[in-house]
Amino acid sequence: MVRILIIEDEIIIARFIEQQLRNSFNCETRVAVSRAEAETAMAEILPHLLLCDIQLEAELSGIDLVTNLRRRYAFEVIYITSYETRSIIEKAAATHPANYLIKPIDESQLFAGVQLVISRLRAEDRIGKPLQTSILFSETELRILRLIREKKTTMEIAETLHLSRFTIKNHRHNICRKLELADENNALLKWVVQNGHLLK
Amino acid sequence: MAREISFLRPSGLPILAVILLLFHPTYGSPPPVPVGQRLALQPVFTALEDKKGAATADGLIHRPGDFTPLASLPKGDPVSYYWLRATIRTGDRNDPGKILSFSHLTFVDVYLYNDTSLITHRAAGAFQPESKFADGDGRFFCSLPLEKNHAYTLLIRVHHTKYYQPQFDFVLQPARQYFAAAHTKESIDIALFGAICILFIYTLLSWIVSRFRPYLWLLLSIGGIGCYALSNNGYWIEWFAPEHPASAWLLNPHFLYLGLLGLYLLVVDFWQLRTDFPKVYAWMRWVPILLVLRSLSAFGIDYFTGNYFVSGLIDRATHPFMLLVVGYTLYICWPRLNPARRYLAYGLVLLCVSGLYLTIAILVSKEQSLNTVSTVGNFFNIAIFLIFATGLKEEMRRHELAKQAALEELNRLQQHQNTILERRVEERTEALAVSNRRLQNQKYQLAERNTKIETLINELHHRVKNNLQLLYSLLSLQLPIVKDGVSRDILKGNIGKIRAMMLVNEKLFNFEKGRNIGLCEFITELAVHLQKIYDIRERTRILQEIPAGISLSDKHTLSFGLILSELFTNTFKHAFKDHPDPCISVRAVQVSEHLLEFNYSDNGVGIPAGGSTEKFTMGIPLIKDLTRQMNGQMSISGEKGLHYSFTIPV
Repeated sequence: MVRILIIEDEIIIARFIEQQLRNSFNCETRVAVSRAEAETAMAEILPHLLLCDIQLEAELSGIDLVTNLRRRYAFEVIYITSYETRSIIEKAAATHPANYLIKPIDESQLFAGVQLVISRLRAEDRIGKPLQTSILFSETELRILRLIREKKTTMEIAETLHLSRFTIKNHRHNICRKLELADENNALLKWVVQNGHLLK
Repeated sequence: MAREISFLRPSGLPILAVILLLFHPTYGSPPPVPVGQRLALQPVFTALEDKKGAATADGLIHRPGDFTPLASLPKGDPVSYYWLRATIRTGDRNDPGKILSFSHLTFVDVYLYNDTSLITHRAAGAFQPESKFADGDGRFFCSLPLEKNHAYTLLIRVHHTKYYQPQFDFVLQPARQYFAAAHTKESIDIALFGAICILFIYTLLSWIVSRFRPYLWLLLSIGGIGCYALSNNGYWIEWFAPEHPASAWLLNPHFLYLGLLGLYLLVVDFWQLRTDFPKVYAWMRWVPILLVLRSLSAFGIDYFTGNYFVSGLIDRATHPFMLLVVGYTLYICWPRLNPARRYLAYGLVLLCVSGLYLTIAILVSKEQSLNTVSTVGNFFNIAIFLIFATGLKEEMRRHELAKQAALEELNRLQQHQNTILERRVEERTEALAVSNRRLQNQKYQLAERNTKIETLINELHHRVKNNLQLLYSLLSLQLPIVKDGVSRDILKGNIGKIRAMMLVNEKLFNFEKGRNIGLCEFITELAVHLQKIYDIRERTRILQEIPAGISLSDKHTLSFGLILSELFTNTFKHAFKDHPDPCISVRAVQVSEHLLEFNYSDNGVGIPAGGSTEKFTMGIPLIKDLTRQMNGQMSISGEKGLHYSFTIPV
């Protein structure tokens, strides 16, 4: 059964979407009306698919939220929003959404938009789980991440792995790129501290 | 720099005397000498050296045998008293006056005897106070009252205190002849000193106007050497200290030193020796020291011993060094001097030549220097200073030219700068104009867009209201058609919700500025409206306890409106079946700054035990959802009617 999380701050609309999805697909759904609820729901149901409004609590926080969640979970996302401006669509595209639906939407539009994604979801194994680091990162990158978790500096990591300092830097850069983190020390360290449990 | 005209004296024409001296044989015993035209007495004198100065004229007049002819008198002490004796005879022509003159002796007493009786005693001499002179006599001459066809004996006592060997160049000549010569000399002096004065004033004015320092040094030099010439010619004593000639004469060489110091400063400053020729300057620094030493030693010797001969010797001994320094300076500096500065070099060369000439002249003619030497010296002086002044003027002219050129260059640069500046200002102005136009355009565009946005917003508002109205009207129209009770209820509920939306919309539009909606007014309006739909007879009392200040933020207003509409709908539909006194109570309390407590209760049937809970299933989840959306809390209790309690963040 496909697990779907609906992130939408108008609860009536969320309920409508929920009802339509339940009618059309064999799925389990959950509604989150705020960022906090979304965070909780993510951990609890590990959804395969997110339907996300871009304007949450009167801001463009939907895209930020998805960017953030991407670092910890593997999922697909469909944006449902009333924004049609080019810049916002471009910004949303940077998080690689599976689809982008523009409000107002009716049953058929919703069905078509979601059907497309759900049919594809079945083939993907890693979706609907916490981010699997063994798939995302190479062996060397994982070793580096574990060393970062032990609060090792780049120099120390280079010494431990018998690699050049620049090679380590290069790996760190790649890790950041894969996690869509800003390419700086603190961002990666923060991620490692938050998600250290993923690095078995 | 050897300037030795200090021993030149105003007198008659001694050259002639020397010539005459050659033609006159020396007499052993003196016969009376006929006095006619000019007569040099030196050949006819008999003389006596009186070392102690004890002899008197009256004693000696009776002892002609003590005298020996002057030519055979042995050379004695220069400061002894010398007695000279000559016998003269006048002709038969009555001469208006005879003048006895000499060139330079410090003290002279003239006694004129007729036989042995004293006719007159006259005093003269360079150091003699003026008060001792008889009327019509001068420092270097006296008039003798000679009558025709008489024989006189002339007894002269000479005391020369300057340690130079005295020269007894006495001349007897007619007054007219003497005064004519003296007059000629004075005229020449006046002309020369006048020229020097003019030069002095010219230099002074030049300095005042230009403040060019070398002029000051030239001024010092001209002043010093001018005063020296004045002093040499006796005018200094005549004008300033006729009673104390010996003291006044002490100053004589120091004027020269002052002039030389001025010259030294002129050279150093004008050629900028200190910076341009440091090597030469190292040597030249000895010059002022030497000058001061010379000045001090000369003054000491002259003042304490009166030995002008020795001080003169010492002075002359320094000349070779001075000449050497000048020569060295000229040799080193010449190639690097510009034409203006070379004028000074010409002057210096001329100065050296004149110095040499005068030194040689003095060496030849001793203390009794020629009258011409003084004049020639003055001529030299004027020429030298003219050359100096020309050099300075040339330098000034060059300065002026350079300044002019610099000014022109500056002017040109400034013009260039101005042109650049103007061009830049033009460019800036143009750029400003362009950006101004762009700004203006942007302003128009903004204004246009603003208008468009306003129109759009109005349009949007209109559409929203209209659409809500359409929905409201549509549902209201359909209401009579629907006969089924459940469907009617749903339809009524929806109408109520649309009405709530309309109200919120209306309030939002009206209170756009505050973006907050007064809770009290909102509830009243909604309640009244819903009552019209469900409670046509208006039996129900609605009690409100809502403080006036409480308001909701716009993002919560719609949710709250829908909740309220649902609550009222529920109550009207289910609570008051045949109730005698239906009553709804609404209370709101601002618990804290961000929290509102809202209570809704009716006195209806409450939640009946068992059975009809489905009636509520429609509304309560919605209320719960909306409360969740507002991030609020709610609780329900069903005793003695329904009580809802909400806490909502504001």
